[in-house]
Amino acid sequence: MSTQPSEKSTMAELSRQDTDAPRPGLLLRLEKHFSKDKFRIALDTSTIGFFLFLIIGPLISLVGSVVLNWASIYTTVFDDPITGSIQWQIMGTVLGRSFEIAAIATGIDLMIGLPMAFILTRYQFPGKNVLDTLVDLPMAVPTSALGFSLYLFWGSSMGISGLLGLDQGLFSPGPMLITLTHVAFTYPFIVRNLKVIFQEQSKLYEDAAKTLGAPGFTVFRTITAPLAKEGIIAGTILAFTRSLGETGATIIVAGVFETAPMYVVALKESLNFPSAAFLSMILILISLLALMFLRVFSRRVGFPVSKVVPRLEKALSTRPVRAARNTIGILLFLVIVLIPAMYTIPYVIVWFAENPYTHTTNNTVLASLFAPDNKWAWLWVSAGNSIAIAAISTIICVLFGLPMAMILVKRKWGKMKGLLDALIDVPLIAPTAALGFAMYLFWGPFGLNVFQPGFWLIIMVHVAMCFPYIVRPIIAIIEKTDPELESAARTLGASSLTTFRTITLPKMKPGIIAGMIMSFTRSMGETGATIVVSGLIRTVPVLIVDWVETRDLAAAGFASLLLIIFSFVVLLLLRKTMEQSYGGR
Amino acid sequence: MPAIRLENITVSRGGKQILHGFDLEIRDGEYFALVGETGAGKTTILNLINGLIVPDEGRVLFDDKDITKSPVETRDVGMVFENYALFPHYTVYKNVAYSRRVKDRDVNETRKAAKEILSLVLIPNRDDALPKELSGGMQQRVALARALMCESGILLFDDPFSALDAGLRMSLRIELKNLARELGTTVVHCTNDVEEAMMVCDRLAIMRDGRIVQLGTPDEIYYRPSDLYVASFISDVNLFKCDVLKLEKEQGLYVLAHKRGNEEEAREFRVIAPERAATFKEGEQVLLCVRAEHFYINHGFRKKPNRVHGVIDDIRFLGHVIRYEVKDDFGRRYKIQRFVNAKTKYMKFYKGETVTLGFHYKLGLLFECPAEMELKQCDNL
Amino acid sequence: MVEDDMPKIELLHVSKTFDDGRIVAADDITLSIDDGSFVFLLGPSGCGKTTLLKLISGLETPTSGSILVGGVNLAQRNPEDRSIGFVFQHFEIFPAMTVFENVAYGMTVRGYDEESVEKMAREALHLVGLDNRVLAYPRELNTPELQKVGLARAIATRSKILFLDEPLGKLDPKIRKSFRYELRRLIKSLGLTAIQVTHDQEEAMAIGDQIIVMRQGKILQYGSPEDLYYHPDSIFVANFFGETNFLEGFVSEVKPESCIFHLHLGGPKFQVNLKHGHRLQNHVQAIIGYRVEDVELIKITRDDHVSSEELDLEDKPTLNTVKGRVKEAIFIGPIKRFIIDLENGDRIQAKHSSKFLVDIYEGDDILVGFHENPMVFEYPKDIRAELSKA
Repeated sequence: MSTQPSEKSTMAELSRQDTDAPRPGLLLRLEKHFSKDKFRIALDTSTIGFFLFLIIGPLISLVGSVVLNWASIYTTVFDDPITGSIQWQIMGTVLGRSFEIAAIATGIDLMIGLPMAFILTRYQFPGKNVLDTLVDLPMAVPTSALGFSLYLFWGSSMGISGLLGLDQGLFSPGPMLITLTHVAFTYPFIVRNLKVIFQEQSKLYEDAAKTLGAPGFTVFRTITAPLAKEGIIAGTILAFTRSLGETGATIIVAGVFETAPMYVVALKESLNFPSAAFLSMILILISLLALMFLRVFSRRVGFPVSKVVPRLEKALSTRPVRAARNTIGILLFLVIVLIPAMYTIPYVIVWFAENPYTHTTNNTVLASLFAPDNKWAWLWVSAGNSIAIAAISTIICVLFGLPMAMILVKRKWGKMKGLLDALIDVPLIAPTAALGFAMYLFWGPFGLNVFQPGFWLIIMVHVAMCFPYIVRPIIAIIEKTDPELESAARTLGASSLTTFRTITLPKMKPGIIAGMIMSFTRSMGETGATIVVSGLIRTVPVLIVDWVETRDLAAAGFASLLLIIFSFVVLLLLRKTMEQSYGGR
Repeated sequence: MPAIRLENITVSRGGKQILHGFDLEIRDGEYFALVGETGAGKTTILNLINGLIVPDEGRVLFDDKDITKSPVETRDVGMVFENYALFPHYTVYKNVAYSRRVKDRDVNETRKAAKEILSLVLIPNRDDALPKELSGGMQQRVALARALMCESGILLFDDPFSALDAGLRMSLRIELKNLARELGTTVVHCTNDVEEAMMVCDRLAIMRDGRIVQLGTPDEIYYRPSDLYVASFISDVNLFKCDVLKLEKEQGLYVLAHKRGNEEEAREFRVIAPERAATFKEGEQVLLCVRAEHFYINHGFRKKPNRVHGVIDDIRFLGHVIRYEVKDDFGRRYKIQRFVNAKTKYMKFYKGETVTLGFHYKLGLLFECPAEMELKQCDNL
Repeated sequence: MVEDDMPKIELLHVSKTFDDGRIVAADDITLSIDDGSFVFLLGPSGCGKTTLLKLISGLETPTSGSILVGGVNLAQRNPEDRSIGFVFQHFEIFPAMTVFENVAYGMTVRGYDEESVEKMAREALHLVGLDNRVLAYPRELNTPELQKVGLARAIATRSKILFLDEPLGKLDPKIRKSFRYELRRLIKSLGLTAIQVTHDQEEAMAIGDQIIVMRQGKILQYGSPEDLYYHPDSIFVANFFGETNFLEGFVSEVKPESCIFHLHLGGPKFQVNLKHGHRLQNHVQAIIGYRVEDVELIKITRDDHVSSEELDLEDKPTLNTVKGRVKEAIFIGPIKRFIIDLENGDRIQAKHSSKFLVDIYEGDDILVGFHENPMVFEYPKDIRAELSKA
């Protein structure tokens, strides 16, 4: 800092009014005007109103219609004159199956995902980024494509059994296959969750524990795990409900076996609306319960870690044990998750023009696509639909999601805010088919009759599905930003809107972009709810389901491949954006 | 209680070399302080001792035993981290007993030892409290107790007081020093506060950019700093660029001439610096450095050796110290720190008054004249 | 925009509560700050000083009371509608903008023309010495440089009042000590009124004109550094500044301007002068305080018998003395610190400049001298609370 005797003259300079008084331009004046309280209130109201209408409306109407039509529902489900309570029995069975599968899949994922999360957070090695991306891959693949891929690998003669020289698939469509499918697509959720937990502050405590003499495994058991407890439980519940509600992939690999969400679709298609409504409601209630459990009780649940003999723990912490753990973790990932998920790629390549067995053009991709029923055209149209729907849904989501994120972080509304926050997650947890059905009831011919099954109804459904994907990343970024930055801007004379434009928005950009990409991808891959409301329109995922049902595997494979490639590219884009936003700080 | 030795250590992180060819020897039972600004490398040294960092080259020895390859959990070095790192999900007792629990020691013995140590650090009755229920000072003591339970006889402190209030800091320093002395442990204490270090240590090292600039007792560092950086690290210094007029080798007496700008006559300074006797020759330029607290201040104008004059430009009251800024006709600023108490506070000075500043010839420090950049760095920020 | 001329700042019965009145951050505060003065809000963490700063600057609105600037009540006015400069504890430099853009921000959002913006920003950057870093991004700067950017940005808009929230807290001690004087110099040369929050009493004394000591939402005492240091109203304030030895005992022969103090636990009697208007009565418990630098250490020669005439007591002819033994003597650069056990069992500390080569060592038996003008306090109801620094 200069210590020249010129300070006195500088002071005189500064206080001389030789600069013109400020004349704010149009933009600044507009921002100042619209920063007034009344406009803020108007924005808040319309944002919340939109949200309520979008998500809460259908849910309430679902519950409402069940209640109102209780008499007829009761009859249909429990006391049908012809079938008796068979509907209820079926529902019980499918619910039980869904639970079982979800539990097993989540359990398996925890076991094989834990070592992987460890590898990705505690080690540095060349190629780590590649492994990281590969782990995320199943998430990028739209569920029906994923289902198809897994079906090919495990369940058809062209997959692993082909390599082993068998005639049939290792697993025929049914519960085993469904479980394997669920394991594959839930895997990235669990690993990501565990990664976040392991990456957080626990490192300092782990170091402290090590200096106090605790070997690796003991550190994990006594320090890392208890501190991560909440996160692990939350991740597990999320994965569980995700599996519970999965529809798209399940339809493909289930064969005649039915899970609860599949049954909802079946009921709707057979026009048994009362039953469909009832089952949907049950499914949604379960997921809401899970959500509540997550938020309220996770803190109180103890973590079952009983004392293990220290000598054993020391043995478990040695280098060979660790190496074994790492190798097994990676191997299991490759065999159970990655290769099956990506199996469509080699399949399409091999079967593209020539049938490898008969060396004819039977059942090849090209043959299938350009058959007389002109699947190729259908593919193009569906692709166009998918992209248009995804784009429009994403834009609508951003327009309403941005102010919603701001509300959730900034407004001081106490308990109301907590409720709102929880409701945002409903589309993530509720089974897509059930949600789709609820929205069909609300908007369609039996409700407000605003939308017929088709393009715009699909958009409404997709907006609801994608909403959390936009809001959450934005909230995450706002929360990471120092709120005092905005105070600083205000002390410098910036109105609320000017502060938003110059300070907040630039910071949020990576979050917004990430959210848009995730939302777009989600929409492109959405299957379950879309099936319910699509009417005659086709999106690519629904097309795939169609083609699998008509045994046009090659064409289905090709469509899946397109979707996979598309999602992969988008995922890379996402990575780039995230890297930029964190690298540039 | 072991001695610690670091031999020829090289550590690189992310392509940057943090330490290179680094040597350090800490004596058995010594309270050693590592002082330096943020980023000087202090925490790295602690992590080399406790094993959280393995050097790329070099050895770490406890009492001549090479433990460079020993993993962290076998070294049993007690450490108090900067933010304590108390396990938030464990009670005070469980935190303190942790190091014994993980080795499956006898429960009763552990309880006894823990109780003893907890009363030693003055927290006898909070066994079941969680860290978040305790005040900052108490958390610090629990962290200390936890570290004291380690049996290697080595204690590491990483800026343990930075999160505490000034008053608490002062009393805890004295307590800590006495405790360490009682137990005879070897202590390595890192801090960026040189006052704190001087108060508690037997010896200290001033670090800068991964190198030790000077190592010695507080006495040595204060009265015989090896270079300008060390001198100005401890207190404000006043610098004069002088020519050596005469040198009387046996006494180590230097007679220096200092002339500024367009002053007609040069001022004369006499300084006794026997250990510098060999360094400077007649006719050479040398930097004379006088600490702010070594200038005494008198009313009026007196022309004698070791005197400068000026007008008081600013007076700041700091309680037991009054800080003066004196300016002379050539724009030079002198910083003087005068200790005042009930007896001396009646001698008052006023802004605008002409004063004479003087210093004892034994308290002048001589250094080589550094490059211009370095000079500016010391004078200003 | 508001008046350019911002003379006196006044707070009248200002209170701020949170959580429906359960947390009282500011409790009925009334104070006034003169134009051009550098005022410190000082107190332990949680005392309400940052809240008060935010109230005055407009970042928080008071629950009740009025805040007048130049006679106008600004309590409900947004900070963006005032003309203030604010320096934040964590700097809050906008990370996506260059140093220049940061410093220019206040002018840009107010709509100054380009030329003026450039001029004002460059002036501010020059004043803090950052002319050569204008195009750098915040992530390239070190902590002291970031701090300067924050300062430049706050003064660039030429507002007359500057608010500072523990601006030096993140700097290393050495830099903190030298930089604070530069800060004061800058503020004074620009003729600003400045209000700064700190928990560091040395900082407040070193560069403040006036200090407001706060505790639990209330103002305890308000005055210049010397006022507070030499004439603290309470034990808490006395203990907050510098270091003090507190001696317990009771008083007798109480007169308007003096009394006799009997050191507890059988200690000797002191002659103590009292301030006009004191309220002590005979035989009540009291506490007297001596700063550590005021405690005199007198070496006793071999001969055990000591009388005051034999001692060379320099200027002061009368001195209260107590026998003691040196428990510890610590050297800390320019200062020598002593811990002494008095004959009645009290343990005290003394601090002296090492310039005077005092040859008193650990284990020595000495005489401790106490002057006749200590700080005198009635014995408080809760002595531990008074002596805590929280």
